[in-house]
Amino acid sequence: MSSRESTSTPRSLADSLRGWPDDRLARLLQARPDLALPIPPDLGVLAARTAVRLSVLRALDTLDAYRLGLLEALCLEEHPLSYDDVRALAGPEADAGLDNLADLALVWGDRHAVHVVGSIRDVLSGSARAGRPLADLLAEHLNGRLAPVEQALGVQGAEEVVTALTDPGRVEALLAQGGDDVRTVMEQLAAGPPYGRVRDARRAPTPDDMDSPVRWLLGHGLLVAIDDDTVELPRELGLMLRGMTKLRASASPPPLATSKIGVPQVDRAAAHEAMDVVSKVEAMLESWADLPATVLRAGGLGVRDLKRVAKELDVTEPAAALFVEVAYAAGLVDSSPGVDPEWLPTQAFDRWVASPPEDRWLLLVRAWIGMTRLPALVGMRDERDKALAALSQDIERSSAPVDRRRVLDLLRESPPGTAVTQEAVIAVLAWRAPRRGGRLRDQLPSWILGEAATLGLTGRGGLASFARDLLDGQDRDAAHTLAALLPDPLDHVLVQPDLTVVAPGPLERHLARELAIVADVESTGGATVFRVTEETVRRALDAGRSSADLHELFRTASRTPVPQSLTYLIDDVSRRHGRLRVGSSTSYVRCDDEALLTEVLASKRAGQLGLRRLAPTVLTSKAPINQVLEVLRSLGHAPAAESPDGAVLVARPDARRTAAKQRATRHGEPAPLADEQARLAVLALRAGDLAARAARRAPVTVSHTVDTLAFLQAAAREGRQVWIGYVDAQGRNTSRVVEPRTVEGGYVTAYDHLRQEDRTFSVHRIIGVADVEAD
Amino acid sequence: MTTDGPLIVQSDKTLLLEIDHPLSGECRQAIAPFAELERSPEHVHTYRLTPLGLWNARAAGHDAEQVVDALVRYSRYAVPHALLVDVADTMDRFGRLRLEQDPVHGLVLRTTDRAVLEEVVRSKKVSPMLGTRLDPETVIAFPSERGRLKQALLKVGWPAEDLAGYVDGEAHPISLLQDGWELRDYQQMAVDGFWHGGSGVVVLPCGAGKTLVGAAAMAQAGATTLILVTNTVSGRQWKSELLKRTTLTEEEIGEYSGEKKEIKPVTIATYQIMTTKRKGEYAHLDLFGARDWGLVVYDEVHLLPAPVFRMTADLQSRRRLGLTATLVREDGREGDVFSLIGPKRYDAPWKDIEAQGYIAPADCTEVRVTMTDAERLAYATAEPEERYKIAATAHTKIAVIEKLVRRHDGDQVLVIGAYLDQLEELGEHLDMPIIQGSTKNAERERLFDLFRRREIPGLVVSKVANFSIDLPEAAIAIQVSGTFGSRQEEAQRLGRVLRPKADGRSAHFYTVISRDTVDQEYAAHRQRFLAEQGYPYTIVDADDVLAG
Repeated sequence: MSSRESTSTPRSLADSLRGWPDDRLARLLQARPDLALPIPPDLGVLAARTAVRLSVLRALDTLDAYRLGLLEALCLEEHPLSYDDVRALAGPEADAGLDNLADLALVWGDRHAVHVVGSIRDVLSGSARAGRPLADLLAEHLNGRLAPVEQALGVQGAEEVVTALTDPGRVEALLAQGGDDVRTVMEQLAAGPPYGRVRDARRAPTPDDMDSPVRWLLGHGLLVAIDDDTVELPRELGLMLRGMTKLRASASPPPLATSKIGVPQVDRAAAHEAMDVVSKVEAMLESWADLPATVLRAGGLGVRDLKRVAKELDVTEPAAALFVEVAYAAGLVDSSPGVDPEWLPTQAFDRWVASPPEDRWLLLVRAWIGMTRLPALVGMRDERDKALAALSQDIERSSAPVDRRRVLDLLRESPPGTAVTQEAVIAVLAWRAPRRGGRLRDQLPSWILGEAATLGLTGRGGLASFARDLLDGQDRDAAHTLAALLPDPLDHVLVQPDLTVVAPGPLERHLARELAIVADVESTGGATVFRVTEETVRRALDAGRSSADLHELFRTASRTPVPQSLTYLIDDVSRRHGRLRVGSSTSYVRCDDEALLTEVLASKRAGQLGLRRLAPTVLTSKAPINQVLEVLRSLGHAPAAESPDGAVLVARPDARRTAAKQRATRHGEPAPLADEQARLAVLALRAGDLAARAARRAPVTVSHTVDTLAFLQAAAREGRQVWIGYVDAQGRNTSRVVEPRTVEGGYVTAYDHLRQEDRTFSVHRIIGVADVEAD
Repeated sequence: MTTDGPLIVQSDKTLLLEIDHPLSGECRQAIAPFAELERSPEHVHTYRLTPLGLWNARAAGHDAEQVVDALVRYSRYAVPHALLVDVADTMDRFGRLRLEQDPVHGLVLRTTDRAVLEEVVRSKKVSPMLGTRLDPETVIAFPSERGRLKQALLKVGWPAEDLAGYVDGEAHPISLLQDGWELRDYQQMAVDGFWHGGSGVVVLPCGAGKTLVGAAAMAQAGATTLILVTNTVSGRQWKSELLKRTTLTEEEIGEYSGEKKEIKPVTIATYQIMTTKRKGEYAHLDLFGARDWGLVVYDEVHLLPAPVFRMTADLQSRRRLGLTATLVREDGREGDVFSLIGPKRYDAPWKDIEAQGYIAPADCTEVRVTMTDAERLAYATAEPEERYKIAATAHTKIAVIEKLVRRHDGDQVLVIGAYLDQLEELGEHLDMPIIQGSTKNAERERLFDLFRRREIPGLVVSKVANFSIDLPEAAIAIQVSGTFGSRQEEAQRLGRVLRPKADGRSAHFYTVISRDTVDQEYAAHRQRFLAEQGYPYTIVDADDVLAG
């Protein structure tokens, strides 16, 4: 291929890889990180691994339409094509494309013969496959029924038919004669698969029976009927037609169409959504803290609870599912432990709520970008017609982060302040990786774009500048940009005579919290409208605010004079507040005779009962009934027990929280290798390869321990590399190349080329030794 | 990043307009055509975007672009894109279907969007009102179903634009007698809005001269007119106003009520008579067909009873004018008003009209009395359904009411209540005549007349005073009890004193309530509507009144 390599023609992929320089190997491992997981012991194994179906599928997923087209073209022929062949088919860009495929170890060979890695042919069957050779088809299916074709072409015998139909000039003339419909049918079949269904395919064609294109083609031998209702396009003709139509994919992606919106407009719209998401997630989790959603028995969130979220937040169910999933991914919600688990906010939620809005948004969006789940699947049905639940295992998709990143990176390429349509994104991504995403290929981008818009990464179809910072990994810049876009928190509200309180923008945290206690939220958005009612004032009083506190709150926070109706409302409620007192006690003692109760209260022994006189004729006690009875009896009284239960709890329970569970980290797609990692992996590979080849020449018989010791000591003295066969603690037979340093006490300390460190080996586990450098 | 606009768009589709903002007036004009004014308290007015409001705007010739532009231009924060899209989508639904007059087939439903027509002809609710399909875009509609069809189409979300026009009706020349007075600007705007739209509703506060809007509309139509009013007294007031303000003579105006059954070129009928049944049938339906009416006027359209709605459905080829102080219906049938009477053609905030001096400024005061211990005990032990009456009619109120009346000595006072024994007691204490349900119409008119001529200082009235009675001289209203928490009633009662006073004095509206009872709770609820209209209540203690 490229001139970097040895000039000798490689015999196999492994052979070819051995000739690669280190940096090229490192790039291969970086481009196909799954090859390095775990690091293969030698280059032979690496070569084998590159041809493993799963790995090939992964590699094909990353190919753009053009390079995939090149591969398909290469697969058409059984024998290897040359660079020139492919260039004729795919244009001048083919050279670079083929070099790249070679770099990915999908093809190997040299400029004269490009070999395709075996399993690619299987994987790419279907669309790329051409039909069987014409001669085979004629022999198998038209044997003895060739006359009409011979007649139509004016030739004699199968051989002449084949000659006629493999002559491009002749075929082109025939197609011109057949007309546009005929050519369309041929091109469709040539694009693959090469089969077509037609009724009565085997009916012998007659010259006056050429009414439909297919019958015409059958009559001229350009199609062959292979059973009663299937026709096949012969290989030669398929290839010829593809040559005529050239490679279908263009060498460059479709341009990403953008329309100008303006940076401020995009940023404003996106920032608005960003704030909306933050407040909605907060509202949702606050609501769950009060009334938790139940965890389904199969895991996940029930449809009813999802609907509740949608209703409370006034959003669609898909948006609700997104919020739930993002909150979960951000660790703000988790299932509580216990028999009947519930979805509850975690302790992390409290920290999140207390942080500045831009940081809160960043946490959510980071979680979204990285999560291995597809919230858009929620509510869809699986193959057993079961609805997929939010927060369940059903919507786990390991490829999700990569897909998300692909869409966002594409948006990143659009100029700032421009909008990109969904169609444009889908078209570009379809070119960049036609095989990625499978069935969902064109749906995924639209879901991701929709979610990005909901989360405020985009506004009016364009990527916001703070989202650009975020995608560049500049979290601080992103937070800074976003914070600048957000309206400054206000320290004042407008109080109106109809007892509504309007906050014309986001409020300072302290004020927002106080208002949320003393008023109900009526509407949210750019502003917040609160309504004060008797009930909310009572709630504030219950929460420990005094009427003076409330007056002070409104007096200082309201930019308008506090209406008298509000002042009266607060006074009225606080006047009545606490007139009825409720407390808890474990038991009570009552008696019509006040004197007797006074006597009980005065007795020393009754002290342990924690008695308190509520009224002249009633005492309460902290002690349980039995104890009270006992003590009273011991004092010489004859008490009678009365309705044993009487305790009422009034305190509102603390807001409920659960601990975030340790989540099993899920690996998405293999992470790309850093340069250093790749370099080390290549080193290991080389070492392994060295060992493997040495192993082929290594003594097969088990060395005698004495010989082994002598050999190793000599090697240590001379600083030679040796091959050792070694049985590890698990009984596995391994072989490695080491540089012995010391041999003593039954142990060899040696530099291990595989691990790149000094290691100690037990001599009794070494089963064979051999020289390496004699190679 | 924010611009400094006066408008804040909320996610629940309410719009908050900050009144103290310099651009608020301009903004209000821009959003009024499509947003419903929901509340207008002192500082921040609340408008709401509803499909009905947006369709109203479409019907009045505004398009989605104008709406979006107004929202974006005046909004302080970014307007959610989804909301703008929703606005455009909603407005786009209006006018896909049109009711037209076809020269050959008569009334037809025509569409610009076949899919929509397919959808509605397949709808179970709509299809019975449609006839044969003429072509893919057109289907015959039965003229008798014109109203019900529009109602049904509204319910399925595809409101039809009614371009089928109106019959002119029997011509009858009417013109305004503008001697020494003239139509106010807003009245003229209301009439113009109505006339250009064909049919619809005009919303003006009590006392802002809705009758004159009606009269001007009649003059514009120049045709026989049927006027539907809430009760006989209000009907007579219409009549006297028409006599005074137009060229119509006594001979040309008929009264169709329980007492008289006259059908004349201009006929005034009560809702009550229209809904009277005899042998299970509406006995007076013929009135609608009695003449070839060119215009039908509905006074107090928010009170229009359901049967009259049904009758109205048959009147779709006549021009219809609805008049009201508020489109808020306690029964939530605003949609029926839209499809059967027509869209809102004009409205203005109460305070705006007050600022122009056309209605009197009013001070609203809530006076709280503390019941005696005996009353409190009676209240505490009463059955729940009795409690309101006990609190509202507490005897303790009498002294306070007397004091209030004395404070406004020389002003014309209305004392309004709901419980007869309380009213009688008050009448006796205050030495004022009482008007209640059983008072004969002739006696009522005599008393109202005395009141207007200031020969009696005041009247004690029951619920009959809730509806349009024209008492321009009333400057003081004292409300002692009411129909639980009806906001409608509160607005109507305030309306009684809003007629502008000759000397520009303020009107006073007192509500006397018993502290810490359901009376106080209901009052709070009733006041909400007025507070939302920008009438703040001052609360005073009865002891302060008595001491002062």
